[in-house]
Amino acid sequence: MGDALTSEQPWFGTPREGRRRVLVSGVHRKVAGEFVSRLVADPEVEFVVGVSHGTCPPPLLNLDPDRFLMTTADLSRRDQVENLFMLDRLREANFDTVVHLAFQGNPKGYSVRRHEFNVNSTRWLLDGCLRRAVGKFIYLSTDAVYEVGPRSASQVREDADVNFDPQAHPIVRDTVDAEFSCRAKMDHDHCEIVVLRPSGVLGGGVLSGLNLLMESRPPLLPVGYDPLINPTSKQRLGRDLHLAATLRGKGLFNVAGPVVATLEGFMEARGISPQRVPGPLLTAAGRVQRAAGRSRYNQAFHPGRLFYSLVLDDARFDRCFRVPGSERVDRFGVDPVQSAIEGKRRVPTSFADAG
Amino acid sequence: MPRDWIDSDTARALLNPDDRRRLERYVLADAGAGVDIFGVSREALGRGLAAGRFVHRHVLRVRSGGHAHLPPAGGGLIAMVGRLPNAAQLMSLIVDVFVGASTPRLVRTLIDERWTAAPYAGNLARELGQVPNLVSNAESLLSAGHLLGIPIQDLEEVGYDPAGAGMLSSIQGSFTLASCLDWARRHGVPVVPAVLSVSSAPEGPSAPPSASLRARSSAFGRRALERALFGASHGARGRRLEIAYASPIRVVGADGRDRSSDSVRTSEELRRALRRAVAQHSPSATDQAADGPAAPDGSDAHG
Repeated sequence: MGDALTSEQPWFGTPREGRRRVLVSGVHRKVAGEFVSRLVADPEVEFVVGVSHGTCPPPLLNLDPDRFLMTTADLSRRDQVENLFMLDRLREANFDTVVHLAFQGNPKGYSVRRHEFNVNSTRWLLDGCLRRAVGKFIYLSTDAVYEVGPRSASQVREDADVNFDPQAHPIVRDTVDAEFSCRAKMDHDHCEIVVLRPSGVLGGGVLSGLNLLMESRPPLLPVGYDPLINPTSKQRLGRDLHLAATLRGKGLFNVAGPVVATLEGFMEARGISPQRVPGPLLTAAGRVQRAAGRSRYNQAFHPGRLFYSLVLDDARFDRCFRVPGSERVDRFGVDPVQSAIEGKRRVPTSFADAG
Repeated sequence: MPRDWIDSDTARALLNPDDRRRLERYVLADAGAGVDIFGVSREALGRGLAAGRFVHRHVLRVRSGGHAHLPPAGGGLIAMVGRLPNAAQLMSLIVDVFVGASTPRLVRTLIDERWTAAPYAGNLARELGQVPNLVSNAESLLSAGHLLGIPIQDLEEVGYDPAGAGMLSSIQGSFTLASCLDWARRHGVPVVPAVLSVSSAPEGPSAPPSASLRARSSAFGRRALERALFGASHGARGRRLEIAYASPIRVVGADGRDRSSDSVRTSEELRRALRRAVAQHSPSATDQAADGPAAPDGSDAHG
């Protein structure tokens, strides 16, 4: 790993001062439900404002209205993004954290407008943060930005090759564009900019590639390949986002699950039986399956994913944020935020229950 | 699926009790689902060992010694010198270390893209601990405390033999003495020379006619099998692979540690040390011991 990535500062992982005022965009995402619930349950968070293009998603309906406010905005329009920073609630103090989860990742019906939304929403939000001295900006990227192939590293670190292929799927290129907008400003004096690259996210209703694959009937896999993966869950990703928002630290981080296994192994553990098809026919077979309404997974989005291993190395995130015995963990005991969430909501006990 | 290329029970039945015990003793750094972070599982290792043991014992008929020099724990570089190994020889070396070292250890190597890209072969290689040929993979393995086997390519003057490299001929592009020294220095691991050589054919005036005939007939089948399985044969009829593990070479660390008199600090010093190891375990020396059970350095012998 390069020096720039290993030279963590001593203040990384220490709690941020004051109480958090958090703006979360894209609250209709499943992971946002987990994340916002954690934030609202955290006594160190003053209030949370959720932004979406539609109505409030059901998991967030019962949250305390004094601590959670839902608003609507089109993030591809700069004026509407600017308005977010001028809410009545912010008369005394502005946001100190912005978490950008909004991303239109559905390959179906992709258009220039979606491209503008994906790239410009990041730009406008980041610009607003920098001009208003917001203390932290977090962008949730994806592991699809990594180049996957037979020469990939066994453990992919943050400095691994990014997919700059001009033939890559436009959504992947959007993600890379948005991510690089953030990385270009990462040395900012006042704003800690964090880019998180989660491995595939599993959980009911999650629109990640791996989850859509597992929800296909049946999942199609290429003959002769069984790649290693270490997916995370929406609960774990919500917790990691919470850590990144409340602890100090900036930079580019992989976040992944604790278990490394083969793709088929994960399916077997969930009682899913995949169907094997010859590799060259996989994309065509997937197209037929989608047309028949049996799947929403698009193989063209990340072509090498079902062939070659992609195990993210999140040791850097561990070092910076998941430090056992750190000041924050001592202060909160075991995990009071999780306890508070579990006290209010039914805890999923199985993969089928999750979400 | 490739995981089922040999049934588990069949694989275990093919292993002798000692190998089965070694398999049980192997310390797998489980990453949560029975595989380590590089994809190795105990079941796959059992199947690989069953197949590799056959090649090790009956195809290449390996004779080896000096296993005491292999580090029982922690990282290490196994520098393959004397001969560029083909696939069968590489497999035999991996099996030889696993069954011969005091603690069962798996030698990981960096393999060519042609293997990792191929269906089944890529899975198989990964399950047996072999990783794509990348510097970052080598460093991941060494920092995780694994044994990394690398063929040294720039030792021509001390017995490098490119003939018979076979399907693995392209994997050695980046393995020079300089990279070996660099990795050893930065990760603080010893370099253990593994001198590979092929014994001379048992023909000539001293060999009895019956032995020659036996060697000729068995070698025909062996070479055909070897070519069919690995794309190359390791040598002429009647030959066997000899592996000698020489004394570990210590490298002066990046922070100046390990400054003992026999530590090396430059590529030239490492070259001389490897050259000495090759000279000490040269084919002529092993030929003299061909009929005896003793290994070149007097330690245990397998094969």
